[in-house]
Amino acid sequence: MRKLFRVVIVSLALGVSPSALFAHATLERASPPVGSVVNGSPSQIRLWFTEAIERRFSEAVVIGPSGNRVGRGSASGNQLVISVPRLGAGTYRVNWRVRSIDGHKTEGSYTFEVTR
Amino acid sequence: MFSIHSVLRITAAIAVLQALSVSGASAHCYAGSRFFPATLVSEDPCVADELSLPTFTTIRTPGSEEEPRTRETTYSFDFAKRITPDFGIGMGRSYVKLKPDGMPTVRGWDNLEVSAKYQLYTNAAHEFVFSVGVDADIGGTGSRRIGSESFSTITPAIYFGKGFGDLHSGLNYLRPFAVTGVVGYGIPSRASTLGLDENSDLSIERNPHTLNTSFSIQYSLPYLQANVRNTGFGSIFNHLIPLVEFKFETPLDRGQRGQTTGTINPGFIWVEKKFQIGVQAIIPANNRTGQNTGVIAQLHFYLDDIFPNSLGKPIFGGRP
Repeated sequence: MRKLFRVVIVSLALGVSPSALFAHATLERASPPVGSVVNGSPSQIRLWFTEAIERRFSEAVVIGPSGNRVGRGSASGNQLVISVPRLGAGTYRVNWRVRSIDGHKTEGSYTFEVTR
Repeated sequence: MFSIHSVLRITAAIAVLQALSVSGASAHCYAGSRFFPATLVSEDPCVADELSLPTFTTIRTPGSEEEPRTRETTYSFDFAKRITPDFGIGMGRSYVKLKPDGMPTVRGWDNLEVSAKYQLYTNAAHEFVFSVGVDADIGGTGSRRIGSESFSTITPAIYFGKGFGDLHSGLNYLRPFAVTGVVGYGIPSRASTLGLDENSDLSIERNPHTLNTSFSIQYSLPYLQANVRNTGFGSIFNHLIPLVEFKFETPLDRGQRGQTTGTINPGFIWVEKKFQIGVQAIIPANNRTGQNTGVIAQLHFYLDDIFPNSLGKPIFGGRP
């Protein structure tokens, strides 16, 4: 029993150590920030995740005030970058779905507002 | 405590386990962008690979004419393993220490608990999870000294979780709310058991069927941060889920009908990438339950994130 307990403790210690890099990728921050109001159009939208993400299985789209898609993102490292045209005033929704490099899938959605 | 050789052996074993695997893993308790943490008092609604080690509780139980006040402390572990992406089994055990006022301490293991759960339905858009399962407390596997039951109790149950991320954007600040719950029906394997009372006379204890309900109300600051508004609170708060749990047991027959006992458990869960820490109060819900406040604390590991390619993935059907 004591030996089993040792195995469990050492295994967990190794597993949660900083050197073990993989976990669910969750949104750490974004630019423009989640729920923010920005003055003028951003040139791009950037999302930072807590883990590296798989490029082929990770994506984000930006939906404009009229419901049309205004941008689509591409992944690199722990970021998703979405190039957008000049955005008019209104509320924009960012829908993202990513897969971390160990296969865990996560998704989310948030809005930001552009003012003139 | 550990020799170098034993640490190396364990490390090598872990490396082999991880290398053996085919890639693929799935989430712990997610429905869409909602993460339901493992709640301390009630079972969470998902099937997952997880380990609670330890769960610590301490509370002082009230005395009576026959028994002195007693400090009750438990150290528990619970392990859950997915067999398929939607079906999992679990086991748990508690080591109990009873310290009656003015009397010697009594220690021992409580009965073994085993469980099985099937995650029937998950709706990502509405952040909803529904599962069915059964929990069994195996009588006679614990120590009689601490009062472990000699009979078994089988509890079929339903589990649910609902996040409110689908609320209208005008209610943005309510979207981080979520509720989870469990409703179970406890079936004892014996209607009554014989025992000895304090005068060493034979006594009969009747074991009723019970309605077991528990639910939690949670407000997820990680959800607020990622889906509603960047609060700027800082990373400590961005990992925090304040919650209140409620747990009740209501006997349904055998002379004890309606004598509900229960606790209210406010506190928080702090969620990290691969583990969570929870601390909650144990407040009796009525006089029948007691009058003293206790504490429950838990360190909980997400095995699917710690060992995504071995212990933390389903045995069959690795990638859902």
